[in-house]
Amino acid sequence: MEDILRLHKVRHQYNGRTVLDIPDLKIGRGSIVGLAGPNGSGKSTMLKILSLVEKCSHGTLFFENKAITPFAKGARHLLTFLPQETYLLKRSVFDNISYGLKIRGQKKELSLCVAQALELVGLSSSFAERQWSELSGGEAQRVALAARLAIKPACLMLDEPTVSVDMESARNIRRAILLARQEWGTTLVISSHHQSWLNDISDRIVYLYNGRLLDYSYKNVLLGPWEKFSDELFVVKMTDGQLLYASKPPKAGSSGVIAPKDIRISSSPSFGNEKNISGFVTGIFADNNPDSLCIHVVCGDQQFIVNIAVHAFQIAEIRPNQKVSLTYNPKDIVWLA
Amino acid sequence: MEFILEGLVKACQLLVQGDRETYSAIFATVKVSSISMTVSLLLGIPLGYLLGYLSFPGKKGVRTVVDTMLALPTVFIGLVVYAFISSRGPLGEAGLLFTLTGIAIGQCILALPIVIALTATSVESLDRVLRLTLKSLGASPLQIFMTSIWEARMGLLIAATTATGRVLTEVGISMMVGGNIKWHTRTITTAIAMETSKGQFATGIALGLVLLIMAFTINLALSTLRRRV
Repeated sequence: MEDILRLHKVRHQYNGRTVLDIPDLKIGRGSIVGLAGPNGSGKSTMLKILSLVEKCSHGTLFFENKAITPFAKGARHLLTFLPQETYLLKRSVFDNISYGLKIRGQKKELSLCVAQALELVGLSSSFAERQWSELSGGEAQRVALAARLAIKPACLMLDEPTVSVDMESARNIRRAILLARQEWGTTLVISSHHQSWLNDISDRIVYLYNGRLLDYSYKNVLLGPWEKFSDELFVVKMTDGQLLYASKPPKAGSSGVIAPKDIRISSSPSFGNEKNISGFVTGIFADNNPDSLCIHVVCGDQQFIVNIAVHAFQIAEIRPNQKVSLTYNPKDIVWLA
Repeated sequence: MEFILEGLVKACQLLVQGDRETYSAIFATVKVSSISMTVSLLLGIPLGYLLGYLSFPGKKGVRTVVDTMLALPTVFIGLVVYAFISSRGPLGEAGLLFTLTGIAIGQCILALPIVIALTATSVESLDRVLRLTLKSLGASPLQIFMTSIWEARMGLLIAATTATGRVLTEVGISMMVGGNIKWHTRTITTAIAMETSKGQFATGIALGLVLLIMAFTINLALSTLRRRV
């Protein structure tokens, strides 16, 4: 796949503190890249740099193999960004959606373009007459997305697009961005804490931690704060009340990772020095390795990605929505710096 | 009390009959305040935008100076402008003393800090996500400026109203720089001061009424505009 965006030796600092350090990251044309990682890991900063909203302190952003900077002619009209905090201009919905078209010099068929953009996000064309102050949070988020889709961007960066919207709005947003890729080949980079939503929509997930890319093989990031359970074990309580065990972390707030290969999945818990947590299967996907599968399991608010050999999968008879047990050794959790 | 009522009646007569002297002062006021406000808004809005939008070393110092200038006494401005444009001053050769242009310069000095300070405050109070949103939609720096100004339009209308009020009602600059020359640089406020000192209450009241009507009309127009935008 041809690369449309590339971050090369990019380092970004705020007040001398490095918040992003990416040696090299390529994003393929028409792909959907998910950005995962805890708060403060540099996801929003990366999206701002990719969409030319911010200039990186060091390094180069390439768009279609050309180095670009903010306000670059041409590129700034092809890349766009939907921030987490939606801002609508104090005007009508029509004016908000047509703004991007007007600043690109488009004067014809504005009404048609606005109506199409509204339809993409699941809103009727009558919304165009409404004032910005007459919209709910979810509607405002969809109007803001429609304003980005109206310009038919080559690349669309979305920062937590589903964080403050209801399920229906989240579905509409998902549908709209998939349509954008299908219709115009838009490349999408999406950050989200909603792991299952992100896994579902993305072709590839990039993990960030403390501004650095994480080894793709880890995938399961376990966030603190950790509490002491015994001399050797520390725990974090998940939203469903289950305890996740780990060896002593460097700090109570440390984050750890565990590779999918280090977790075993079965229909019943196993006993011994290993620990178990139960969850539900949310997805079964093909893995890069043809001999194994990738299973997504949700335990409370934590999603785990587990690898299982195809023959073991057949024996275990794992199905979607099935309650399963994940077995792991707390010592396999690797602490991040 | 009687002389006030008499003054009111005579004031109405002067205005209805189109007294030339009264209308000369009215036209001079309208002309000079229009010039000074146009220049103040054209200079003050971009400068206020930059002060509110940009971060630069010494910004707090600049802001303090601008805020201090909000309280400049009009007689002091009149004095400074007089010193500069009088025959002995550095701009003496320009022949601006006792002209409406000279008064307009002084009124610009009066209005400019108001427009700058209130514009900067309006721009500072804009949601910080606005700039990010506009950049993300591909706006150029000029488009960001124009859109931000439009988003801050309520604050700018307040700035314009406040500055106009100050300019219309000032007397120190007009008196010192304009010299209160009949048919030439006599404005409403200088005429009121002079007529009252001469005991001509009717003319003073007539002019005062006009000043009130002008202020009321401008405020009414701006508040109507505020509701519409």
